[in-house]
Amino acid sequence: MRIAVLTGGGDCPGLNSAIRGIVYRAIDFSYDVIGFEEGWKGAIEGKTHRLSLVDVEEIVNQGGTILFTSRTNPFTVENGPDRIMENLKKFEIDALIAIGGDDTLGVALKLYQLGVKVVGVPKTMDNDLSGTDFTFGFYTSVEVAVDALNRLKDTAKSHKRIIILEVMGREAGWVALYTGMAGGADWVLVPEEKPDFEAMCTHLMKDLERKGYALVVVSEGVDISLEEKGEVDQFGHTLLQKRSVGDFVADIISKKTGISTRSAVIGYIQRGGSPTVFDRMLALRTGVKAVDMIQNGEFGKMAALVGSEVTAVPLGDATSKLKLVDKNWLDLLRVFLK
Amino acid sequence: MKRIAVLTSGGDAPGMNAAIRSVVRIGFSRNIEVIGVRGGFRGLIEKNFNPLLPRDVSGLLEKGGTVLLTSRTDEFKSEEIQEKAIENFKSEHIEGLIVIGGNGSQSGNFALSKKDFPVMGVASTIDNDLWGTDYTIGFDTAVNNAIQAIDKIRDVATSHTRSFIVEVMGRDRGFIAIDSAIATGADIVLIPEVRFDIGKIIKNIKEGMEKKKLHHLIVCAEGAIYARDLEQIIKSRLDIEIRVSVLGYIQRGGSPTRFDRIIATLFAERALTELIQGETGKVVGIKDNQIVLIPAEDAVTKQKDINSSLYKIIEEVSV
Repeated sequence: MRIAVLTGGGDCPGLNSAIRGIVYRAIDFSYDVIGFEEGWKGAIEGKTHRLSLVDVEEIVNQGGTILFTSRTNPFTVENGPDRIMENLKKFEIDALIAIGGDDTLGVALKLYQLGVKVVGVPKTMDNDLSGTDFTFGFYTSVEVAVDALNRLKDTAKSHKRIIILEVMGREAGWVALYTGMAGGADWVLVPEEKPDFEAMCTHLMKDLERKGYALVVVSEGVDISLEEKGEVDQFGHTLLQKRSVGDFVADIISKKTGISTRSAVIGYIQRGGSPTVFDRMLALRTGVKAVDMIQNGEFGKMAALVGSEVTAVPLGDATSKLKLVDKNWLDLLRVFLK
Repeated sequence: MKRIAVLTSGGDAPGMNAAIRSVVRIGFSRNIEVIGVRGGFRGLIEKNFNPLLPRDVSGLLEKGGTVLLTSRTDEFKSEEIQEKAIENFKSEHIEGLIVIGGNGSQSGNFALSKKDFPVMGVASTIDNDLWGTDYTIGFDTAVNNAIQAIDKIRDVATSHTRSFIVEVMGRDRGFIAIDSAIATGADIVLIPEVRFDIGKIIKNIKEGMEKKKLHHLIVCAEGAIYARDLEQIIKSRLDIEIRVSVLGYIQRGGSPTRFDRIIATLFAERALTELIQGETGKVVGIKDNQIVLIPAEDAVTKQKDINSSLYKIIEEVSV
């Protein structure tokens, strides 16, 4: 048995731990493992990467991915799926493990429907994937954001200012919600809820009066109805760094309250770095489970954390709709906006 | 001297709290009453004075920012305002002042000491741009914050084989940019002090790409060029995946490093000692590992040179 592994989409802490989990478990079953470089791009172009014990034994704590990644979508590349199948034949690959978010797993599902033996390992920093309670990468990135918020607090407090922190999250506000609650923010804007700037400013003025500063966390994907949309990637996502939501919100506060307000964007810093223990453990466990699923012939599924167990969940459950912040969570958040 | 005041002014810097703590506690040990001025020089004018006792500054060593709050110093340039400040001191029997801050703050030090009010400064700014001192309180922490962030960006750059431009703080000076570039292995550093040649940068990147370098990391000080502008220029001339990260305010705060805590404690002790002994109009800094006194006028008017050997080494290391 020979299996191939690839990592697709944005990189996030824990990818290397997952790759390590896969290679170590594969040894138990005497499987050969190779990697495709740069996600689906490498599968299309036949760019492989050696994955033996020595290649992965020291990467459990490394951020990023040793397999590299890309946002290439094979279904928008000419003969993309055919070329992948040719390469699977050429390299004598019996099963494929795709590590990625909804885009990567969406492609995995389509390939499965075309007859490829695919298993998924879910990954997303935004934690917006359905079918799994948590994905690795999320906690590490929230730690980074909370750390940044704590630093901003020093400056906000010293200068008696309002400061905005813009965090990642295109469609889902999980990162903003966790950062805001765990970092003690005074207001949080998430994409799931239309921003009420009037209420926000009134609230912030109250905070400013009471404690001399205020902090706001905003998701990059919050709808600010800007006319100009930025570039779009191959999956049709607006490349969000072109429009700075944080600056926009800071401007609104400056105008409405007359207090000069600044913003900081966390951006790419949130993607890198060494994974936290939670993320390492989850990544190792999902990696091991993915190989077990191949051994059991459970294809078209992904290794997902449900409750405290890692179980096989149909890929369709992950890709059909995003997991968004719901009313219960927003109510919980409101408990801390006082 | 029986009673002195302490204030922090200008941009906040990690370690300011450690300096405040040092002034208050050492002052107490030497039977000197220390009054905290809240809100920088504005607090002087508004007479926002509060006596500080050792227990008031407990737990401050590890805290970023400044508990005395701060303000920008523009209005303090007026002589009328300066005289008002001295009047306020006299009415409260305050005999001397310690100013913790950077350029603008030490200009205030110079102005008040010229009017015969005893002032000592403590060099503290994340920009490290005070003449006569190798380091200022807060710089080490700010650079470490930048390094931590850039290390993470490097993970992303490697995973995606993308190049990055990271913009760090430094409107007029490139100290943060140079140190963080060396410490993160950046290929190119752009600072306000050195004119750069876009053609040469493009050529460097091109050669790197030909040498199969996986990605390039450029660190620029905000005062040299905005990262977004540089991105546009590079994109218009090279077919390269390049992204921008502006570190901004995240560099400022956070718990001070061991270095900043220690120099804060030592600078403040020296400032207090000298103030009591009648020294005035000086700033305490560090030169060749010795605590030194710098005339406030020199500290704020003379241009501190960048370490050109550090700058050159970046080019050689990046092959």
